[in-house]
Amino acid sequence: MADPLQHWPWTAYRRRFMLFGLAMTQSGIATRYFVELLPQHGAGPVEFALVGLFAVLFFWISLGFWTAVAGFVVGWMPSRRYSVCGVLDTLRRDTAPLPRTAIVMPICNEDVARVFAGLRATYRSLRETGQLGAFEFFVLSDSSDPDTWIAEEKAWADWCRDEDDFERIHYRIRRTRIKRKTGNIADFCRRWGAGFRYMVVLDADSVMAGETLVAMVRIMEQRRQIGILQTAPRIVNRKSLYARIQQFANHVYGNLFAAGLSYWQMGDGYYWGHNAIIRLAPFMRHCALGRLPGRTAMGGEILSHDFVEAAYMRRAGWEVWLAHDLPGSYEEPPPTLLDELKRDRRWSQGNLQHLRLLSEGGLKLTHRVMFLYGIMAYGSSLLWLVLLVLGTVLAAVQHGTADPQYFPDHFVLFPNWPESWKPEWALGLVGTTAVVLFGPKLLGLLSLARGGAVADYGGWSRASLSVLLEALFSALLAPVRMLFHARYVILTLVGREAGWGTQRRAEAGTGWREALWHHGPGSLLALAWSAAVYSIDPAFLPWIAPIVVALILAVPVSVVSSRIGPGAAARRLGLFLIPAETAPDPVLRRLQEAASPAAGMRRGAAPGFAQALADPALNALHLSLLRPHTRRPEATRAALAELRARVLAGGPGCLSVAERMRLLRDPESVQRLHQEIWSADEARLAAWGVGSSLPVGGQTR
Amino acid sequence: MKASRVQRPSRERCPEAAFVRADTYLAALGIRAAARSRLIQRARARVQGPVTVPALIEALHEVLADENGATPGSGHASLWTRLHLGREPDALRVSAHPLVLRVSMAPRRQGSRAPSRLLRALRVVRSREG
Repeated sequence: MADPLQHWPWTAYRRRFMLFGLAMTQSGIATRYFVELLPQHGAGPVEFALVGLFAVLFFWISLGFWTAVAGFVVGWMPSRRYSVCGVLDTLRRDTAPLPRTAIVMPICNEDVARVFAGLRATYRSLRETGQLGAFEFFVLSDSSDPDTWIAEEKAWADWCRDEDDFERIHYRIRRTRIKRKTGNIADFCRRWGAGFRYMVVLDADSVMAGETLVAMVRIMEQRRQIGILQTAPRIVNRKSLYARIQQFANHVYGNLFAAGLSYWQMGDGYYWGHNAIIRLAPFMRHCALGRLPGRTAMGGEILSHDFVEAAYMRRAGWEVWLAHDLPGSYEEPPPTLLDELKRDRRWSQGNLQHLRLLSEGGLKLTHRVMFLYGIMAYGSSLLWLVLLVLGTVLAAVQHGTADPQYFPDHFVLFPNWPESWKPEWALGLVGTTAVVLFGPKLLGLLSLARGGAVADYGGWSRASLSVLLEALFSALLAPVRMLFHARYVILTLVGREAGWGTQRRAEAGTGWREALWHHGPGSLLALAWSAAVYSIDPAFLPWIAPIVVALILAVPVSVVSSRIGPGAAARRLGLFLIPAETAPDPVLRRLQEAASPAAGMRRGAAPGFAQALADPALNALHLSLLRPHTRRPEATRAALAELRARVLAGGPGCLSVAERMRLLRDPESVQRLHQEIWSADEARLAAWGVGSSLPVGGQTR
Repeated sequence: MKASRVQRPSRERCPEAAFVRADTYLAALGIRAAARSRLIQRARARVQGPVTVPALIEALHEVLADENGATPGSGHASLWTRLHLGREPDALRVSAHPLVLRVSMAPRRQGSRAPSRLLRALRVVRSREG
């Protein structure tokens, strides 16, 4: 039987035409309503700009709406004819040996316990499939913190020892950390890429089921034209109220959007940078990223590299598919609103950089559109802000000329009767917008009826209440996100670079002071805006109320939602439940076991710089993993000797991070300091943690 | 970890502080009491002059290097990796970071003469971007 996916491009064209046509028609109608509502019906520069902005923004949300509708319909269709996973039913009987596949996890100063817990869970799950032999794990560290480095080494050795598998679990730390994550992956490709046919990229908080990994390899083997197969990871495992609401939204509506995206993108899909399998040979051949010219935020290294890699892969003729219906792929959301917003600073800069790639030769039109889609994810916030500002300006202008002029200066036969405002038009517009914004949420809820899935979400009543509350919560957050994103876009456009701080993944919560610092200016702005609008025309205030109230409440909302207590209370009430909480996948249960405090106690406290020099076992491990230096200039030797003298005199805390890294990279210093510390008097030895707490090394043999 | 289970050499041959330090050190490496005692005796024999903590620790490292065939100073590493991870340090390094093995099999010079496809592609992209 012919493979229906062979002719997918024509199907994709038809689908895109239909989807964009629907979105444009709907936007056209809504814009028409909007024009009718304006006092001068779009005449004049302010109104003209307002109409333009409204049309663009409405088209943007309309596209999302129709994508969700498509996803909803796809979910109910019995045929998986055009799904990339459609071949899975026949592949399950496939017993052919799998080709070599590397599972790589680039990390940089991450929570070591969580990283290795996720890897251990994935490893165990893979072993249960009986296909572990085809896979190797690579922990690719870019950590710059000496304590993290040592903790990673120990966690790696513990993992290898526990599984008795030193042959397929590898750990390497880069000395020169160029080009961040892309450089880290490129380094892997250069060194080991030739030894593997596929590479599965995981994020530091990813975990994947073994069956899913095997299925991905089998699909790639079956469909040899696929270059990247991306899964749609479900976000799980968080406990704060904010994160639990995000998890619920991801499970209930994320499914729809993923299915909808897959519906119209087909083989021109996204790569999201992790939880995806990549065919290594074409990736190495076609997806190397250069630096963008210039040194400002819009130049330099491409931060959102994944979209670009997908576009390059497609340019070279390889397909990129989203396996939206492949289960067993997970990641964790940022624990708080502020953490999400900090991450968005980096993502917004990365997406805006794509403006410079829009005209790059050879890219598929779909990928150019997807670049625009990514840009609009943040650019729309700025447009929305401008729309609100212009709306206020218009209200002010309108107020100044509010008295109707029945008899103009020139002669007219009849007086100019003012056109009455039509509330039915306004209500129609509000209604249409509400359908576009909240329709996908309703469809998401309805989609839970499929296969009785609603039971995993607490049943119909609790799931419905959760959807309602989530909608309210997202309405409260939307203006806050808008303000932050608009600022990010402006900062990027004026050349201010985002930092590349490590994402905070621990659930520490947001403090009141921190929230006030970040959200306070927005709240003040909202108060000032409300006062100004009230003084111009109190009748206009209710129209901006949803926005200003959300901004004024941003501080308490951000703080309370970041806490685990309200999240746990919601869970006790059966709100925002997801299958990972009610009926977790075995791989998630394993992750919880591996990340539990009891497992942490068994492995001991996370070691650091001082322990690497003082603890004989850790020193032995670290020394064994260092590559010996053959030759070093005299000046380098002298500088290292000076550092050694300083650290011996002042203790482990007297050196900077860079100096500690320098010492830890030098085998001679690691050896000598170890010996010197053990030769020192009791007081000095105690400064290195040697005494009652030592040893932390292995069992007695 | 206490040193009390080990049969201590006589005070004349090994002063208490040096002995306790050496024993604690070896215990931290996870070495059994009997083996610890033997290693300390051998280290003591190497010390010329008064048996101080630095002298005994230095001698102990020499003994560990001698017994484990490692470069001076890394005998403890060799012993520990063999004892606890079941492999030699070199094998461990290769296991963690297989590049070491591959580099030794394919000299770097060859690599620099024939750049990887990724590097070549990188150059192409760079030249395209001007």
